[in-house]
Amino acid sequence: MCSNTRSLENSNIYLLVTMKNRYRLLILAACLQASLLGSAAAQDGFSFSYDTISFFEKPTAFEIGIGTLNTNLLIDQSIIYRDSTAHHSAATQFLGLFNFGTQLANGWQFNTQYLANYVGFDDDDYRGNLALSIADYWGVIAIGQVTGSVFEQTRRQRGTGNANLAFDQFVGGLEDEGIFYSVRFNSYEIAATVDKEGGFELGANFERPIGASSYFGALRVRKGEAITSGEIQDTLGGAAVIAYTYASLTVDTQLGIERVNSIDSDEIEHLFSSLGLSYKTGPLTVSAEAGLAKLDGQKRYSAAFGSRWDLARGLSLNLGVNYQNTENSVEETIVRGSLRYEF
Amino acid sequence: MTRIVKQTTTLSLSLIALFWVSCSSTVTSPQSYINGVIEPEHLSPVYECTDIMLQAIRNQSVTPPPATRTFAMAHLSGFLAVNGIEQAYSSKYGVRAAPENTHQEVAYLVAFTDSLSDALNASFVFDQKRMLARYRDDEAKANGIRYGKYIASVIIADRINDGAEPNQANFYLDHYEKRSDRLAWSPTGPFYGAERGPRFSTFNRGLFPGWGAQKSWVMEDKTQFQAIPFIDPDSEEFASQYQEIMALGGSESSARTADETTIAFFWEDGPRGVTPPGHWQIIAMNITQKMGLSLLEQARLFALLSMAQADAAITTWDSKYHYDIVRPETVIRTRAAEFGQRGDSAWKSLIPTPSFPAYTSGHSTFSGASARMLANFIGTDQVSFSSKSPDLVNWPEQLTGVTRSYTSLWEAAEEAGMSRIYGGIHWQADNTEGLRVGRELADYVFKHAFARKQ
Repeated sequence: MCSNTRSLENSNIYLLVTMKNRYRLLILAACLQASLLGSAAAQDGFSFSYDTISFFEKPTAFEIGIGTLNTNLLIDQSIIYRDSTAHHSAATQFLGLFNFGTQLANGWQFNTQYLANYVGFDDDDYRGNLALSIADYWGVIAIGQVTGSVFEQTRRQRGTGNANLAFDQFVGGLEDEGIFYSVRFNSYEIAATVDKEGGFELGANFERPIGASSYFGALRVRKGEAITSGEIQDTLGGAAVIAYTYASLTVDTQLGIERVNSIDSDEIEHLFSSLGLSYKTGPLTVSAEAGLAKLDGQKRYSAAFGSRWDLARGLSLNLGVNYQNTENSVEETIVRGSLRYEF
Repeated sequence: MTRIVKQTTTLSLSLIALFWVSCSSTVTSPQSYINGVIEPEHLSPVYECTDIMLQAIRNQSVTPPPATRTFAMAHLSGFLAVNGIEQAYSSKYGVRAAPENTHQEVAYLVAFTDSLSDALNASFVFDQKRMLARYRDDEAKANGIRYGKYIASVIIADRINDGAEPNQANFYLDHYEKRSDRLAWSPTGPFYGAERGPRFSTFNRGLFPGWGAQKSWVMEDKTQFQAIPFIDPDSEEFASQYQEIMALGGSESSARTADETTIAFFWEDGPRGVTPPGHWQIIAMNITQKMGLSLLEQARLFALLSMAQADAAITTWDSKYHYDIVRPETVIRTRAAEFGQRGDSAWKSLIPTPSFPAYTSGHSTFSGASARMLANFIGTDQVSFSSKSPDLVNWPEQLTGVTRSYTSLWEAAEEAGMSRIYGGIHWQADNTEGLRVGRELADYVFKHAFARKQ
């Protein structure tokens, strides 16, 4: 379920990196420089006055009848540079998450959630995402635009800030609308989703500290659809993730395999792998990732660096440097810096 | 396409099989909290169920307030199940007596794990089945299962809409008025000095502002043990406490000893771990294992301890948002002049400042309540014991190999309270008032929760 600000960020990153350039604005260099200076300033005792930015602390939730309405908003102003076109552009995004939750007489928790997503200026794009869920000790059942939830429970840790590693996922996708179920057994969580076209994804994850370190492992299997040779084809794939965390450092890796039906030949094979690490110190979080994939014999390379510097309550500077290269195709680096406020 | 269906089926079954064999946590595993604490001959359903619960608290990264509610629901259910068979104590829950020939241990663990499932929204069906498999299938076992489920249903029904669910959102919901003067709390930043520690979120919204609005367990209401008003910020006492925290709690402090630094980490118990109340649950198991307590008395002890901890969470969270007192970090870094003090914009606490108001200290209140409840139950505070940190994952380099020893329960409680001063995150007033409230609350719970039947 997209039930927190992390999920807000998730959508934000994806949409902004993939959107078209529409206008030039602001100063990319300033963002990059500020991000680097930020950590140094914190070390020297520079203090952004966090007293003055907590004005949204109280009015973001309301008791309405028998339930509670929570609201979260994310505003992101970004500057994007693509080296393939040597073109700068800027984008603004607003994300609003509205959740009405209540506890039913039998103890079940009922939630209705709406995610409003507005991007851009000239090429305005608005999307709404609605989900209903019921939860108790037997798990969570949700209906609506929820089919990405299994992936979110079983994926490798997302890159920091505006990092977005390419080619790190199945090519076969699911429809947005469907049903989702998840249940937790102590350290283990299993989840399943089925979309309206019969595609599905099964996932399981394990997470717990062992001694001085913490470990995460996940498996997922997806039957989806992809377009090859202009035709929609079935896909089937599986992926495994392992993560190791020691103090503030996390290292994780993913291996995946997928087969795509082909109308005019044998099945297409898709292999993908990635390795990432992330670290947080004080207000600064950084991540670095690299990926190697092979789709129908064609190699695909990717790398991503991301950083986030927390300036004050809800306010952060974010950076992402995302590189991708496919054989016989364009090599591209996308750099994105943004100032983000969320509450 | 047929091949895809076969592959899908194979992969899915493999996934399910993998989890089927993995879904258990045993007292002999390295992840058990009682492995190495409880001697094998002293194992009991109470200890084993407590261990399963603490592992779940750790694995789900549950924060202290909901952890105490979980402890109270599970332990109270377990006690009422055994008491319903023995009929030794009266309680306000009015549960019916168990039928004759009801297995005590079976009733206990079913009541415990069913309530635990509800409190944590997680299934413990595999743990429950594993423990039930030890008992012969007969009428007593069947009665125990039925009665345990009945008791759990009573407690679960009692806590539906107790105020915990909506108040787990980090919003004020108009339960409390935020103060607007110089003492007002503000979200705090990542300004701490300890290295090789866990990830802490930055500038978090205040944690559980509505937790104090929850229905209490034993105390009459949230205000019964509300803290006295915070000290006058213009007083000598405040000035003295400001100097103390600035000198002792800074990451670069030269006034704090190496032992005091260790104490700050030893009692931190978060963010990934059993929580401070959970730390005291382990201490309780450790020091009572050789007392030869019956199942009923073991269950009563942990029910009393857990309800005192749960009421401590309610009263201290009520005080926190009722008084809305600023953390030392904020005053030292940005508001010192408003208090007539010399500040330091580069000052960092040793450990991360939690994201909620300072007054009173949760650690101190939990520790005061726990130590006092244990002393009340045992009959003396003079208990010598040693303890290791339950969770190395938070501060691996600071806590590996550390064992601390105490000659009394209250000594441990005071040390836990002082750990927040050494860590640089609480005023001394937060500590002393928290300890006092915890102690008085424990006395009240011990006296009023369950009366011995004549």
